Amino acid sequence: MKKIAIYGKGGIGKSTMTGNLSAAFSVLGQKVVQIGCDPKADSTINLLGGEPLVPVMDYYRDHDEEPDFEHVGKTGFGGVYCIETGGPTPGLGCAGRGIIATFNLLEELDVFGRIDPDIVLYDVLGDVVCGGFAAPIREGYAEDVLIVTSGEKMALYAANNIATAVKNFEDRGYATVRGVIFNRRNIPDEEAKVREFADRIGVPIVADIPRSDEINRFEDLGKTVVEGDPEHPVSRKFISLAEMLLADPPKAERERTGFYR
Amino acid sequence: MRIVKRVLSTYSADNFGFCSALYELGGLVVMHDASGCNSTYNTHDEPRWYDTDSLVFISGLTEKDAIFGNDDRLIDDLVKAAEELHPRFVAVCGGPLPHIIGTDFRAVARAVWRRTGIPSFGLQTNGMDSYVKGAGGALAEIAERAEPPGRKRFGLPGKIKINLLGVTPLDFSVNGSVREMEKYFEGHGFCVLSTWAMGNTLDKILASADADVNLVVSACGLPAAKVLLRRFGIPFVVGMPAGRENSREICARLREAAKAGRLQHAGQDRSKTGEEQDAGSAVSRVRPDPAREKRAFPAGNAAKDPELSGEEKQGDEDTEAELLIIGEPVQADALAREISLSGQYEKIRIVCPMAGLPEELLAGKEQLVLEQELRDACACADRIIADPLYRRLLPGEEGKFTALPHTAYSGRYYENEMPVLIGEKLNRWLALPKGPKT
Repeated sequence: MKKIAIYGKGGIGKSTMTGNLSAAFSVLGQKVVQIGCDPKADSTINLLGGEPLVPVMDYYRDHDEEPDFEHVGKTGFGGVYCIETGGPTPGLGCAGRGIIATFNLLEELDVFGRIDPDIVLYDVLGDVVCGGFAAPIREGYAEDVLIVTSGEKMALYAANNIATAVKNFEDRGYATVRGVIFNRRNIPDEEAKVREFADRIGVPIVADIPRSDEINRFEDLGKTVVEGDPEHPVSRKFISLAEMLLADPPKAERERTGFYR
Repeated sequence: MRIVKRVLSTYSADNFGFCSALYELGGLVVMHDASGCNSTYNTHDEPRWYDTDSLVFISGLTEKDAIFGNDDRLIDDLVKAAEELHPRFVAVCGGPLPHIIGTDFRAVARAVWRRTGIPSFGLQTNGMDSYVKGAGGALAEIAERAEPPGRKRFGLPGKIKINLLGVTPLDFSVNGSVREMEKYFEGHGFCVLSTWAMGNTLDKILASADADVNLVVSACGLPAAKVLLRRFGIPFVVGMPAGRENSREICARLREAAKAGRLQHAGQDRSKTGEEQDAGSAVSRVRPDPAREKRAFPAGNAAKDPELSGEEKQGDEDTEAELLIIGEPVQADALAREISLSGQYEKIRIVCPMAGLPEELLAGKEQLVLEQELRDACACADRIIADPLYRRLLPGEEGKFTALPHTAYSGRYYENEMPVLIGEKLNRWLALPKGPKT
């Protein structure tokens, strides 16, 4: 099972990238789970024909009992199993805690055991603002991080913060940054800026996604571009990225601290 | 308000179970939370606190630490303490505050290990689950690090080697029950390699994978038994050796499991080997079997048994009587099994109110947690065996209760009244006149 967390500045296109990547993996015959880790709960909407599902935290809010397996997610395009953590009303509660509580629930319900996915993608809210938002990169969760950025200053600033946070967690056995997804906004010198950032943090640009009206057109229809037109050049970019990630060697099991030599 | 406990207590918390299980093993054991957890643990739930050295500490989490997610201070303190005290290992868990802010104890332990080279592990306790989860998780972590069999030679030739898993004062007090268990099995042809984790060194426990079979004597031992089954194929039996017939049956199951030998899939990935299915065949739980019990001890014979005389005998005429046992599931099974042989009770009902119990141990039992549910259950029963604090449920009917103090529930409050129930001692205890204590 390959587990990848996708981070990036709010509004940079993480959910678009993640949804398309899930769709691309499914086109390649992989069984995929996508988990949206954002109180807005809109990560998976384009895999579900534009029909949002009930986020786990909404279920908790509306029911006294804990959700069962059938309440936690919904199957979307290509068999992708979609889950949204959801979260509190803005300005209240603790969204990070909501992510951790959702992950604990998925473990209790043995969701991965029941679905047995090949790929799990975590689509994580904006910056790593508190402990809960680092939960997807903890031991046992994602092993790789993909950072989505454009060449815009604030996007690169957020991307750098994310890379630094991940680096700070190095001695804790957390995930490492696998690469940068370059989501173009067509600003001047954009490629050079993103390349300079990727070089500085020592990772490759794993995908270069052009600005495309087709993405928006299919999103208006509640679809990813991979679903709407798998042969479109943008779709081919996502499918190539999926192929590249599938070719990565499996991560070695993290060593356990032993009492004996 | 339904969930409010007005007269009842709560079971010891998961972080206390974690500390209790590791107390004697020479490790630096730290609860991460505001000061206060530690004094509750040592004052109420840890009977060894005043006469057995340990390295159990509280981190003293502050509001600033919580706001800033100041894990580095915890890690620095752990490293400093470890360098001063030279523990065998470092173990860290938490209470409610770190749970809310999402402190990652496995990551903290990994950082400590990298900086000190001392084996370290963490467990995500939250101070709200029951001790079963914390103690079970701690012993499972030890089992993950046990040495493969054959590295050391232990045991006597010709004897079946066993480990007793799930032994903490929270379930067994410090009244000699653990030594009695060892003596019982040694007197019945077994060699007890280790008890997890009272009265043994860490080295003895780590080398105990030479055992032919493990005995899970409380719910706290089940996760470790599963790990040892997965890693080394060691089969396990669940049962507490209390009561003459029940203990004999446990011995028979242990011999049977030892004869069947180790399972062959040890060391493989659980999901690929179907551990659960194999575990089912490796486990032989000791449960009451009414049909068999009637054959073994017809109702009329109970009176002839000197061990089943006294007040128990008087109940023979009332075959509709219901006995309610409230407590730890493995111990409750042992009591139910032995008492059912008397034929005195038509129905024996077991209620396990603690959270976090493994599903496998709940068959035939009820998990009631609300005070009113428990009161109703007590009101229906003719006799109740439970921790003395449960008497508060039925004021004026205290005479229905037989006190069986449970450290995990009433702490050290009744520590001088805790009976030893191992082997025939249970039968003798059952024969004692029962009545309310003031």
